[in-house]
Amino acid sequence: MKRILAVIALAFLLGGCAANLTKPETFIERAAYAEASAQGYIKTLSALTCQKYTAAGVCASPGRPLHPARSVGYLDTLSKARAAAKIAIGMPLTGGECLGQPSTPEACLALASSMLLEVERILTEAQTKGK
Amino acid sequence: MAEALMLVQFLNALATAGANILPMLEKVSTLIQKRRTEGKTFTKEDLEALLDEGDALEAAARKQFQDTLSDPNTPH
Repeated sequence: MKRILAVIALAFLLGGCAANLTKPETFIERAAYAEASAQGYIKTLSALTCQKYTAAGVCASPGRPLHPARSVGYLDTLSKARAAAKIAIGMPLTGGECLGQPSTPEACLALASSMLLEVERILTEAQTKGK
Repeated sequence: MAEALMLVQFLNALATAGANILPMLEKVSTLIQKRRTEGKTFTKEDLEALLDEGDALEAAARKQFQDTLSDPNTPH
């Protein structure tokens, strides 16, 4: 089910539309949906990460299967995705550099979307384990 | 028929999986709609305000993880 939501979110980023969400008509609006998705994933990541361990090294909060060290890595990926979206909106239409690679605004935003989907896949697995 | 099934799946997804993602998407959707109602467009300034919120959210999450990692009970 979550996969469907992610695909729909990606469709938004690529210019599609779904349900009662307002269809993006500009590049800025698509970038805004990408940023909103990233923020949602950060909240999910935070909610799935253990905040407190017992003296025995067991997570004191049930349903939080992620170790914070792993979560830092996933947060780094989300940070890169957010950075790519930021770069994309400031990039000339003729192109520029996106995270160290020659790119166009469209390709840079697509790169951000692919990173968001990768984190979404990991979070979906973590949520399944946390139940 | 396949489209109807997709719609049901989508609605289920929204109901069960959107706890964190959907409210954020709705927030942007509402602001875009508001701007259009006003006869304006969603601007770069609107996006920058959203990005600032994202920066704060990211910093708070990073602090949460680092705080837990620095706790002596946290296994490494």
